[in-house]
Amino acid sequence: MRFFLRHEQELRAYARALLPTWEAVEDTLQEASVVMWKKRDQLEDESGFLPWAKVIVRFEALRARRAVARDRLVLTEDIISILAQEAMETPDGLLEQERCALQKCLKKLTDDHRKLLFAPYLQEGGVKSLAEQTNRTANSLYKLQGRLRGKLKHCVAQTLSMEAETT
Amino acid sequence: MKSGNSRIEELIERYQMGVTDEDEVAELEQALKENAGMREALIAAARLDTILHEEALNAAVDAESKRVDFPQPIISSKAVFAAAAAVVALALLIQFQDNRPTGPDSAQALVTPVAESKSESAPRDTVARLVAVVDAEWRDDGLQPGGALAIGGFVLNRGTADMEFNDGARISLRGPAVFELKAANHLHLISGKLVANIPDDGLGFLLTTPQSEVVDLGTEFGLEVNEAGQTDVHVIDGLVEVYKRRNLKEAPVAGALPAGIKIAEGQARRLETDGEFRLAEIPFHPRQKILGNQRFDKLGLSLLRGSIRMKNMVSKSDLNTPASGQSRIEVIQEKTGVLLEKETVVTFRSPGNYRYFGAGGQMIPAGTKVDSYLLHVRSTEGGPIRGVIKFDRPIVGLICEANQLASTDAFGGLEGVDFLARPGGFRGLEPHTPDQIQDSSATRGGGWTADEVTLSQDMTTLGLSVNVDPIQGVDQLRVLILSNSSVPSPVFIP
Repeated sequence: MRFFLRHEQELRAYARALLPTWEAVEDTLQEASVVMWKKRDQLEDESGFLPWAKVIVRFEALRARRAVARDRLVLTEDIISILAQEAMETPDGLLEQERCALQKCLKKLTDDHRKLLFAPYLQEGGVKSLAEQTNRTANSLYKLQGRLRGKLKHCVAQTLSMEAETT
Repeated sequence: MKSGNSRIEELIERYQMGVTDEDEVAELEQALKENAGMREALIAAARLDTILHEEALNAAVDAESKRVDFPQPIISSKAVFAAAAAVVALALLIQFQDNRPTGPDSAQALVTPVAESKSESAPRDTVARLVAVVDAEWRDDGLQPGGALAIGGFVLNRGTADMEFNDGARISLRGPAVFELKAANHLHLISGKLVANIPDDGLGFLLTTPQSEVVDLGTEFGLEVNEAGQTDVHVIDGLVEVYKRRNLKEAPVAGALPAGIKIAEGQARRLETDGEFRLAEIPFHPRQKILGNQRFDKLGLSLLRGSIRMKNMVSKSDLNTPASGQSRIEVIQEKTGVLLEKETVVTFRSPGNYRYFGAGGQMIPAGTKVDSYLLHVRSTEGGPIRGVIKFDRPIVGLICEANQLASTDAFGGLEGVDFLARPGGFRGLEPHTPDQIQDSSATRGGGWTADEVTLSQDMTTLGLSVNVDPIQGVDQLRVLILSNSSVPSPVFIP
C-alpha cells in the first residue's frame, strides 16, 4: 500500500482522463485500492506497480462509467478504452514536472484568480457562490475561469520547454 | 470563429467541468475518435485538472491552519497597549471555549474564530484534526497538533497520534501505521494499531480494514491490522459489530447486514481469512497494551498548540539538562488523584490574563483532588515561546512562583526528579510585581521580556508566552487540574 500512496496522484490523473466527475474518480480509486490490496501478492516490486495499478484502475473506471452513464452524458466505452490505453503511455515523472511548473505559474496569478480556479474543487457550485459573493454573473466567471485555465496550460507548457532547454 | 482544435479543447474543458450538452458530447466523441492529438489533449487536461484539484485542497488546508491564531505576544512597555492586547488575547481563548465540540462541525468550529465560521466556507475535505502527538514521525512533514486533517492517506512511521473527527470520534493511532481518512465518520486502517473512542454523537462511526468493517455501537475498542493483513478487534468498553468488507458504495448501515458478528466488552477476535468469514477468539489486550506505553489518551488533554510538546518520560536530571534543538514548552504529567489534605497556596485560580507572578497567592481548599502537570520551558534563544494547552477538566490552580513550586514538588511532583535547576538560578515565571514589568533586570533570569499567562473563562485553556534566559533561568509552572481518574502516576525513569 506504500506504493499506492506514493503513486496515488498519477493514478488519480489516469482515472480523471477516463471519467467525467471527481466523485467517480474518487470512488474508482477507492475500489481500485481494495482490489490492489487483495491482489498485492501478484506484485513483485515497485517498478511494476504503476502499469499493474493502472490496469486495475482502468477496469474499475469502466465500471464506474456505467454507473455514471445512468444519470449524465458520458463518452462511450469504446473511446474510454482507447483513452485508457493511450494514457498508459504517460511518461513517468511527467505529472510531477507539470505540478512543479503549475505551482510556479499559479504564483503569477492574483489571489482572486487563484480563488476562482480553486472554487469548483472546494465546494459544489463553488463558482456560482463566488459569483454571488462578488456580484458577478456565474457565466462571466465560468468564462474567466476557462481563460485562466488556458493561460495556465500555456504557462506550464512554456515553463517545461524552457526547463528542457536549460538542462 | 474558433479553430477546430480550440473548439475541441473547449469541449474537453466543458466536459470535465460537467457542463456539456448532448450535442457537445457527441461532437467531442467524434473528434476524439478521429484525432489522436485531441485524445492527448484530453489526457493532458486530466493531469492539469488533477494537479489543480490537489493545489486547491492544499491551499484550503493552509488557509484553514493560518486562521488559527495563538494569543499574540502582548508585552509592551506602555500599560495601555498591554491592557488592550490582553483583552484581545483573552477573547481568543474564550472563542476556543465557546466553540467546544458539540456537533458535526464542532472540530472545525473549535479552530475557527466565531466571526469567520459562518461566513467562510470550510474546506470540504477537512474531516478531523490532529489533537496531539507523542514522539510522532510522519511520512509527510507539516502535520502539527491542532492542524486540520483532510481526506487522504497518511503514514505514521512511529509514535502515537491522537485525532478527533468532526463528528466527535476520537482515534489514537500507534505507528507504524498506514491509514486513510475517508469521511468525517470513516477511517480506513491499512496497517497498524489504533484505539477508537466513540462518544454518543459519533455513533455509526465506521472503521474499515482491508478485510472488515467495524461498526461501533457506542464504545471503545482497539483495532490492529498486522503484517499478514489480519484484522484483530479488542473491545475495551461497550459493544461492536464486525462485518466482512463489502462494496463501499453501499451505505454502511449495520442492521442491513445479516453477517455481522457482535463482540462484547473484554473480548477480542481475529478475522480468519480461510474462505469463510469467521472470527477466532484471541487474548484480549487493554488499551495500554495496544498503544504501547503511550499514555496520552489518559492525560486529560484535548489540545496542544504552538511550541508545546508532551514529555513522556522524565529522568532525575532531565530538568537540569540544557536545552538543545528547538525551544519548546514540555508538558510533564506528574501525580494523579492527589487529595489535598490542607489548603494549598497557588499563584492563580481564576480566569484572566496575568503578567506578573507574585508570591501573594490564592488558596485551593483542602479536600480537593487534583492531577498535577509540570510545564517546563526549554529555550535555546531566549525569545518568547508560545502555545495553548487545553485540558479536559478545569484547572483548579496555577503555580508559577518559585516558593510555591518548591512547596508543591513534594505532593504533586514526580518522586526522584531533581526539580530545582541551578543553585541560585531562577525558577517559576517573572516578573513578580507590576513595577518589574518595565524593569529588565528583574526579568533577567527569565529572559529578555516578561512572561505571560492567560487562563480562559471556563478554566480549561491556558495560553502561554514565556521567556527564559537559556544560560541562567528555568521557567516552570505547575498546573493542577480537577482529578476524576484512577490512572496511576507515570513511571519515573531513574
